[in-house]
Amino acid sequence: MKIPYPVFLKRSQDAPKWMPFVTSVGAVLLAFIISGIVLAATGANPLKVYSYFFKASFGSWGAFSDVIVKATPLLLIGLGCSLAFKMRLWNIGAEGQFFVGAFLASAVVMVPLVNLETTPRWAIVSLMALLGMIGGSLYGFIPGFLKAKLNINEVIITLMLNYIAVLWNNYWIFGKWSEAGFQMTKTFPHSAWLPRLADYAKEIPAFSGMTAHAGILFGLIAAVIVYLIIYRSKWGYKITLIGDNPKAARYAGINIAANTILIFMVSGALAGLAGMTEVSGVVHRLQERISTSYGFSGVIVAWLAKLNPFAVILVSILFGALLVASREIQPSGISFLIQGITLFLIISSDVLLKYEIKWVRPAQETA
Amino acid sequence: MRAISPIKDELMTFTEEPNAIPAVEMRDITLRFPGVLANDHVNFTLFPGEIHALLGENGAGKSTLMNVLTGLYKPQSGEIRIHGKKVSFNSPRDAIANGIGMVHQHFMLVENQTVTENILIGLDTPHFALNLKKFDHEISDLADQFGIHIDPTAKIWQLSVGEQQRVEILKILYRGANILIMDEPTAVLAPQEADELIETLKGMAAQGKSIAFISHKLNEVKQVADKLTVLRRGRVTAERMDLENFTRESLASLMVGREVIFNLQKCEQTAGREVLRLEDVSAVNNKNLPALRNVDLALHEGEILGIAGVAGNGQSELVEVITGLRECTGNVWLEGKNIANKPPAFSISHGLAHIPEDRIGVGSAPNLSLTSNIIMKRYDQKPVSQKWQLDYVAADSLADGLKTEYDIQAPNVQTQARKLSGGNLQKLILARELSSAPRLVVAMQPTRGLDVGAIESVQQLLLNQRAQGCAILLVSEDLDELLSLSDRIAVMYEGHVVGTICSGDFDINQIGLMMTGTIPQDLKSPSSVEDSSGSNENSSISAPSSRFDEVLDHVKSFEESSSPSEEADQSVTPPEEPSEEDLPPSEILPEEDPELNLSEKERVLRKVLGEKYQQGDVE
Repeated sequence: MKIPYPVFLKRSQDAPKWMPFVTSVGAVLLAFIISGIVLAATGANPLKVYSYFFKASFGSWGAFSDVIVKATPLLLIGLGCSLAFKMRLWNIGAEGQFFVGAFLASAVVMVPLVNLETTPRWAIVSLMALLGMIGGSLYGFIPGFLKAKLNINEVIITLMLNYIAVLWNNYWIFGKWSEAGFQMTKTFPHSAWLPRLADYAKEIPAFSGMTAHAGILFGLIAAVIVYLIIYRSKWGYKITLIGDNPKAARYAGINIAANTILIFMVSGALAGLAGMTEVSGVVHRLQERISTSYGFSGVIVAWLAKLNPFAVILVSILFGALLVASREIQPSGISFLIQGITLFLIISSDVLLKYEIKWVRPAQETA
Repeated sequence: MRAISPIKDELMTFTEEPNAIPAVEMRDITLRFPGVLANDHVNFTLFPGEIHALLGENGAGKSTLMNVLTGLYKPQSGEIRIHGKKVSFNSPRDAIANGIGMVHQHFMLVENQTVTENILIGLDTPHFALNLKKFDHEISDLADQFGIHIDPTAKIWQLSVGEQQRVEILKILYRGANILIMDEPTAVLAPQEADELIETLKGMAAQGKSIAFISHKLNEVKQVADKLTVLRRGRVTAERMDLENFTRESLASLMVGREVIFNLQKCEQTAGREVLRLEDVSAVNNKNLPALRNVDLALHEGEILGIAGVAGNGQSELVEVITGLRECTGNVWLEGKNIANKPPAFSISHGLAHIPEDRIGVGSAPNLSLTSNIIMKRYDQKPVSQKWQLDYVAADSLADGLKTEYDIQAPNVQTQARKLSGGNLQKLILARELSSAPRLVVAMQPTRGLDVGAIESVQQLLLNQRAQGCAILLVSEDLDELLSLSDRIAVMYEGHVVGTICSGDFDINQIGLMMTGTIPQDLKSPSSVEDSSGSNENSSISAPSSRFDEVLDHVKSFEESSSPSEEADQSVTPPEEPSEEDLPPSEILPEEDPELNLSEKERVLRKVLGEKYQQGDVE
């Protein structure tokens, strides 16, 4: 009945600086081990599966280019989530913002908003990127406004708005913009495509067949900007202050409502841009399944990267690799299993950052 | 329930008797936390029927020692004997089973339940059906036995803080405790309530209960305790001493380890022009109930206005209204600008500094660095602000300078705020607020929970600001602090300013009475006595509450029967008489007799009070 050495958690004063890094890497490794056990239980050899995983994702430049394609939306969404999470705003609505961004970007082609024949490619693509960001930020404005003005829980709102965005898109691709009854629009003209590596195969033959597109550059630039915002700017200071103690921020004269709305819009803009890169860089049309739950994976990416923009780059490549590998093996759910377990572990590992685990040793047993 | 030991007439026999078995005997208790020796071979002995004070600064190890006694911590060495029997507690449950109960500083009561229900929570009986009436009787019998006045059927939210504390005491008595640990019980009480509590405790001791009384207030320890143990940095510096041998000063030096200067450097100066004025300010609290009612106040350069009152009588709301954190009706003028309902940033930019009550929850960002906490209100000013960027190098050097100037003990400016001790965190907040050359400092409970040394330096910093011509609004529940720092004291009760008293006329009894809502007879003038403008006629006494008016009527009728005179008492001098036609009848009060001596005044007061109570009974 009596536990001989009861464990208790003591609030830790000093988590070492390397601790967050260790917990993130540890969570990923442990997730692979646990998934390995699941794989072994189904009769597969986990080591063989993983080595195949690795080969499928990093085995060749072509494979790596595919990884980059998958990593691009994850990177943008992960950055947006990092920014929102820094202020302790739980934006789970990246998926919806992604879809609205993709929709508005597609509108440039489908309406069309500009003459697709005469307008230069860079102008069309820029306009699509801009509208993608506007779409995402407008869709982010809704939960931001509700949170700021009426203090409605942003998790619920963003989660539900995701469904609305998907259905909104469906309305257009099933109805208005349907291509010959298929649930997709017509293919965009070349002038509305983000440049890809394969476009330069003539000059550099090694690029032939590589689908990595310029969206990754958006992502990398965004990473630098988000870094500057969080760690260098006054705005980043305000976000951090609100995130750590909103009461103190209010006391210091910071307008929390305005910043809540703003953060939601910026976070949404990044997700909307991800949606644009997907339609303009990958599928070249608006269709039903443009996202393999990027919006939700982005949450995990941000969390695993501990909201550090540069770590987000690495983590989104890792998750991109998992997505690519999942195409190669059956059941493909394994990589989602790994993702899910990773999130589970990374969230539970927070306890290691905040507490020390102690064993209570009785000093002197009395009879 | 545990049997209660027979009543003893002579308390001292317990302690004098060499053969008596101590209720609690803790020997050589050592408890080490990582990096801190919280208790270093501490001895603590408590005899039945004794009130034993445990005195020490914050972090001296008092609470740790008592937590060992309540089974929360397990000491690394040492032994505990309860009534002579050696025990080893693995959980608070074991301690309760041994008759040990603790009344914590923060009550653990369910607001929407009755006293009885709260007392029964967590007990095994009643098993299924709850016959509340039966338990109500049991509890009121128990309360009567110890002279505790409480209505068992009252809901907790209807009770005052003092009454809630009685519920906590009853809770542990009902569980059969005969060893009571009181953790700074008077910290939340008004002086009269504290006196009542002390009487109750003495009564319980007389009935054989043993009471450990944790405190860092020197005066009350002298008042309540039979024996004294002093802790300093985990060690006992005085064990089971008789209190007669000590003066306030010698107790303080035992606690702090050095001489403590109780006389602060307060220079004589006259107040300058007006900095802050509140006109007819009303506001509601978080529950949407009226918390401030038609408050008028004025505050001048180089003046400290103390706000006295039992916690929860509108002080927090007053501070929040002035600092822009709460909406209100009426006007709040700061340096000629109306800051009512303006965002906090507005008043900050007009020279308002705010030392909040809740240092951790409001005054700081616990996980951010010292630097980030220092620049909280000036991240938008040069040199920290560089266009869109924040110059962290400049911020660090600013923080470094203030760290030295205000003597903030921390390894460096990158240290997280939550790692600072209470006193150092308060110094950090003071450094941030006072270094910006404010015109008005609003300080709420600036020394609460700090140890003697830190209190001294915080108070001196406030006095220095006063000397520099800053206006200071000081809200405190520590009357000693208010009396020693303030130039004027305004007393708040149920959202009203009951009255204002000037320094020189401070009388702790009178303030204590005013804190219970009684308007002393010689306080008939408007609250803000030094008001230069004529806008002070809506005095705080024009309280809308009918109870107030009743009291006023009594005052009036009494004054009319005695001989009214033309001179105002010197306690509060109205600067000018507001023109009478502007005033509603209830505000016109007769003048009083200047010849009334103090005892006479007291008699009047009693009479007024008595009539008020009689009136209440008739209703």
